[in-house]
Amino acid sequence: MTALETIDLGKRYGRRWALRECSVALPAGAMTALVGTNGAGKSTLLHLVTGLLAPTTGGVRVFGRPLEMADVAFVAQDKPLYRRWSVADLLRFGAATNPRWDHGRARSLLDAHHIAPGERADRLSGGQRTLVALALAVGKGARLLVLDEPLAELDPLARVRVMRAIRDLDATVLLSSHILADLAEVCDHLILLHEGRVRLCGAFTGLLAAQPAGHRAATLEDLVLEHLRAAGGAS
Amino acid sequence: MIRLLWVAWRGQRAQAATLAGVIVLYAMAVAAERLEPELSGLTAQLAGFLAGAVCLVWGAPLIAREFETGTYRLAWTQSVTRGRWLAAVLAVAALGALAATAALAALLAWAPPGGPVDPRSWPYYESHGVVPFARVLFALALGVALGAVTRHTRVAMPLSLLLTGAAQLAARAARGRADLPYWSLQWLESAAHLVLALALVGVAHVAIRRRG
Repeated sequence: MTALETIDLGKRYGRRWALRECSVALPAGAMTALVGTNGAGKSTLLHLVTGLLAPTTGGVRVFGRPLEMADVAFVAQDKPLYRRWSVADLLRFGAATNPRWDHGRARSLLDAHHIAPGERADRLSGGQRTLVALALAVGKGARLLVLDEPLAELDPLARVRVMRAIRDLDATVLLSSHILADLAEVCDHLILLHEGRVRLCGAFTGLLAAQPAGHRAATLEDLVLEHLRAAGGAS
Repeated sequence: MIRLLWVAWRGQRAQAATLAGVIVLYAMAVAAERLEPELSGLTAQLAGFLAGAVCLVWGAPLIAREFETGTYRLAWTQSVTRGRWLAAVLAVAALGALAATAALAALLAWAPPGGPVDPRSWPYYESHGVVPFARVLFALALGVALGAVTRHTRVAMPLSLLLTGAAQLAARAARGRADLPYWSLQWLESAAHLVLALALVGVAHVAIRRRG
């Protein structure tokens, strides 16, 4: 089953296309890495599939239906939280704004990482903030989770903890990141964006196997770098 | 909806506390007037500033701060539509502003008049009857709309204060020309403020809608 499908999705700001002719399909249960240089259109794509932005062209389907807010959970870049709210307040916020709220799942993720409900959001470490934002997304009860740079600005230990928490999620996940080496551990699918266009999309194994003769990228990292180099040389 | 109202209240507690602090200071000034009759009439002159305080501390930051801190990406990606979110947030803010106006009206009734009262003097007229309630809602909506359009508190706050003052002067000029009985004037002016407030809420709603 297809969890997320974009059809000729595009977003234009003034005369500049942030994203163009983006048609991708992600199978249910996949962990997809969204990769690309700064300004490639990663955040634009994620904001389109989470309903934060309206598309200029095309559309988004989630589990075969037109996008509905309840079907997608989102952790935005920099993990915005209301700074002066306690963790318990934030969970109440999640419960109040989502009909399918699953308190047990949100709570158990926080308990696993020893984050107390009384803690105030602005007193949390970067890793803890990420986990609270992730718990809110998990509690929403959506089958598709979208994470924008969840690993950015985390120290190595926190990164490992967050990576494990993401890997253990029982959902279809689309996440963007700069850190290619880490992504290979958790992800099995890849979307490579460059200058607003999709350059690669598919399962890792398939992408590595389908290289033209003479290209011998052995890892995801090599594959991405090779494509970016080729795209850079072409333009 | 009740739970959504809790969310709105949790987000606006600090504004409510600030406004409550302003009312407490005002109450202390009224108490001082009652103790020192020479000071009488001072607080009545200040009552009209409540609308300015509401648009400054409550209206302007309401949506602008969501943009500044990035939390709009949290609030607007839950399962609640932006329209319902805005309705809940505005309901709490409007109730707070109306409660503050009612408290101020009660304090004014308690304050010593400080000489003969002329109900047609603008400071008196603007702080008695229904006009102060309509004005405070207008000021709130003005702040919210400017915050939603500009997305910056440092722009929305001074601009909304300036425009609230300009609207007050415009209302005074219009009143001077209208030859109406006291209560007719009060109701007519209140209705005009409420219509403007609704239009400004519409502006705020359009400003936060998803744009294609």
